Amino acid sequence: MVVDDLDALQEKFAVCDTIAFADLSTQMILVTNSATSLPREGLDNLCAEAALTMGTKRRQFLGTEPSSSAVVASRGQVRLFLRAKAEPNDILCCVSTDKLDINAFLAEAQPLLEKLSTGG
Amino acid sequence: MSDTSTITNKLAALLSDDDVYVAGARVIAQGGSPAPLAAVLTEIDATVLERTLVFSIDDVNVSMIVAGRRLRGFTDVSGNLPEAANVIGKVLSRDDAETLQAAGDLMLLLCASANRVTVRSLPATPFGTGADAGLSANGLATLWHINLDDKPAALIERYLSANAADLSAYIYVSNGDVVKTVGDVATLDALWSTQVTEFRKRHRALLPKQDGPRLTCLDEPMGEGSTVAIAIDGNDVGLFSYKRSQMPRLVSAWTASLG
Repeated sequence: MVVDDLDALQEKFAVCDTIAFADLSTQMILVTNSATSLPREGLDNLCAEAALTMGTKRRQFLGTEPSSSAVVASRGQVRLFLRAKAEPNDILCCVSTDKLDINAFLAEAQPLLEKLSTGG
Repeated sequence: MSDTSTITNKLAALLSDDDVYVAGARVIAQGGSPAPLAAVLTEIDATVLERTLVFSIDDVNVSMIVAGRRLRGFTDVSGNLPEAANVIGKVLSRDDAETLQAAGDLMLLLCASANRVTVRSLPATPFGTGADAGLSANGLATLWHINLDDKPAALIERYLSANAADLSAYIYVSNGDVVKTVGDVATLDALWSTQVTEFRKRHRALLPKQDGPRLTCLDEPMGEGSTVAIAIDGNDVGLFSYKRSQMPRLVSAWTASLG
């Protein structure tokens, strides 16, 4: 199940509070890791931020093409958004402390996203 | 009572409204604000009774004997820095220009790109003969060419300057005016002119609670291989392209600058 994959990734990166699989076309979070502390409103905001920063097929607010990934860093927190290569509406969202090893996370998260996106 | 310093530090923390403490040490400069060396001199200027001030300048600890708002000398510098060898244990005096210069060189070296400076006030240890009073903070500022009244550069301006080596090009905008550009900024300039205002407006509408300083790094927003980042702090905006491999370091530098 998707939640098991998200939980497994979160266990590897304990500084992550939330890892979510979402659909940008509907701007809906589809599944989150089971231990996320974000309420529904927080998840909705996360998806809205992903659409605003990375852009969608229909509109980009920064740039001319939908970005393949975005990292937003604020005080003490990093939010990371990753787009699936095969299905650009499928994204992975992550909310972490600023201690996240971004390179290591990306190396694990991108293959997982492709797997979830293709239903593998 | 075996450790009065611990109690003194805790009392100081309780009495303080705005000060920030990290592991019992008071943060006096963070992310270049105020300028680290000016912050050190300001602490010296505020110390009347004889104390050992231990400044942690990122990962280097510098212990000084300070009394009467004057720096008497350095008792220790961690890390076996060769630059410290000519300074430790010597009383600072206008009669010893060489040591004064070495002390200035050392502090300028340590403070040049320091991200965080903290201070602890500990009991003084015996130092020198008492024949010299040391030098005042203002005297040191003059000798070391530090302006204690300089306003620190804005967060984004400091960030862009400190990380310029990893940026391909950047635009710094303050209150709507382009203040500085570096490198080939044609693409960034187009983004600034056509998209940033709308992006910020949308962001405020969608995420009104996330209006603090933030850095957004985008991968391939202008097609394959492109990178663009936008740093926002109130009315200040930095727009830059960067070396993709340096993105994690740039993010880390940003969060460190926020404290």
